[in-house]
Amino acid sequence: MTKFIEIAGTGVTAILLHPWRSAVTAGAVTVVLLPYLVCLGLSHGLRLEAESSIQLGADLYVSGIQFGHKVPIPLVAKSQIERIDGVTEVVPRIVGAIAIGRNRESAVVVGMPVDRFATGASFLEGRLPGQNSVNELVLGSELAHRLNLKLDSRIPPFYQNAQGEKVSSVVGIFRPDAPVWQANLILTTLTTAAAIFNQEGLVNDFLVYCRPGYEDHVRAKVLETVSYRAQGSSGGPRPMVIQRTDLTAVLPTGLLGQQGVFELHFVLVFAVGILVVLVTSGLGLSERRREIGILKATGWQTDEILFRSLVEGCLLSLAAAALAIVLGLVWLRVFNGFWIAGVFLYGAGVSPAFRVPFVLAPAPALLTVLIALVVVMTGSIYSTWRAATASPAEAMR
Amino acid sequence: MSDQVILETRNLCKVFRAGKSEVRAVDDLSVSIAAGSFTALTGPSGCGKTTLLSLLGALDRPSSGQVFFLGRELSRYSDVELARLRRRMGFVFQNFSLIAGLPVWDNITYPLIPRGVGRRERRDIAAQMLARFGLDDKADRSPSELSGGEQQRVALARALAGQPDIILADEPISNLDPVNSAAVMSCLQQIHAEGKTVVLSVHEPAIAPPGSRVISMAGGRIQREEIR
Repeated sequence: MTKFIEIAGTGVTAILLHPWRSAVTAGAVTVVLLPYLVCLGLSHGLRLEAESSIQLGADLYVSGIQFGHKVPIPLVAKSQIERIDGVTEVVPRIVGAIAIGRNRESAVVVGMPVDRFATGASFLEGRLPGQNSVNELVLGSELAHRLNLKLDSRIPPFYQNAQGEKVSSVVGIFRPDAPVWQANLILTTLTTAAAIFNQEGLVNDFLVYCRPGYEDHVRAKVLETVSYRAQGSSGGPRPMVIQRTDLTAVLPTGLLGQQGVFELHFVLVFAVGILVVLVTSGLGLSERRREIGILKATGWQTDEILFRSLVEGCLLSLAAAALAIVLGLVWLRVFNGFWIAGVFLYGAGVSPAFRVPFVLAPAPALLTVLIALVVVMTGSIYSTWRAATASPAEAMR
Repeated sequence: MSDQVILETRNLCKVFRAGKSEVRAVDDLSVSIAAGSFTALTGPSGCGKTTLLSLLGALDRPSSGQVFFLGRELSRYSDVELARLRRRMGFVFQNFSLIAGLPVWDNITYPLIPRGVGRRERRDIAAQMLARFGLDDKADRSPSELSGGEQQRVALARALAGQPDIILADEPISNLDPVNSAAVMSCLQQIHAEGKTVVLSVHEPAIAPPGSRVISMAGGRIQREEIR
């Protein structure tokens, strides 16, 4: 036992014997691991927020489908759904994309009865649009930042409909620490949203709330009884119903799409990382070979030299992984995912004006340690093994 | 000196290849070293002294021929057995071959680590060795802070720390001034006087102490042998 403890001690000494090589190796691994860890943290954070939104959302989302595409549906269909047994509430909603401002910033307009949004008021600076108001808007923090709009700002007409052009006013702005979904949002009343898109009497979907256990029944009834067709018409959209479980099921697919960059980086970690460590192991390689030659000449066995190198590599890996985790936390928490959030979140920009969601869970942290171990070991053990299996005279030459 | 042969070579050859040319550093050389003897290998640079010592010390593998340690041929040794054999030999290198960055005491006892000798015991052994070679106050110094003679004495102390059966010293004084050379040679004679076998290589036969066996080499072969 003493022997192994003593040899392990020489592994620690080896790090201090070659401080530059150790620093470069640990630094190289950290640089490779850091974006990977940050991407993992972001994707976990996004997933949790998405799951949370689904849980807090409606039981069913009833919309219309025609020619394989989702299409707007008539607002009057609301009463048909309300009559179904088990339905407690039906909330019409308009969701649409617009481009606003001189630089045509992308934004998502959400129009719905404002009383349904009372819980969101806690995330606001200012207030929600008035129940019967027109052209009162609540803006997402990122959008307000990009458009340089403040509370009570007046927005010149950005849409035109049968009533002509209207000036809008900003009555609320989401706080930067609000959940990420608000970043590029324009929240307003159903009436204003219908006016913005010039689609009076139409909505995108109905949020349907049911009594517990009635979801499947209501879904079946909607598909069976609700009709969006005008009287006397044989065509028109068919009802489409999405349940909460359907949304949860598609979540991994959706986020995996966002994780494309992460997957690519995962491959790069191994390919580039091992190359980097092989190169850094080459720093002072002749000195390292000579040192290993001396150890062999003085009676060290190959396995003992490899164990020494293993301890050295383990410690360097742990140091690199710990550094990557700390820097990852700093990047996400202090610098709010500067630059990298834009890779994951469409429209987030270089410096997001909202709180970037992230979770550095134990599993990714352990994975980081594991990757660091594999990368460093593959790089350093190979070069050590080459030197240790040569004759001492050759290694020292 | 006993009649027991500790090291023996038979028809030993070592060929180094550089591109198409080849150099026979040791050429069909047969020699035996008696236990407890003091043997000096002499000859000009490139005559094969260092290569022969490396082969005798199991630091290199011969191209052909055999090396025997206490009657057992080295090619029959496994890698682990060769490592353990090297623990029975103390090798002193011309360029000292100390590990830069390690303090002197650690350099001396580094070979004892795989033998399971604890840190405290290693410090004690190093202190004894340093006292013996007059380096008591240098234990925590770095090798780079020592003179050439002091470094070579540290290398000697390292070679002796494991209580080897034989000391193989490759030109241990060629990089030293006369005063330090005399000090190192005195140490080697003292080691021999304690019953250890000593084989060293030197340029000048005159350096070999009286009563020692002097083997003159040229072109990788033995030219002549004499007892001083």
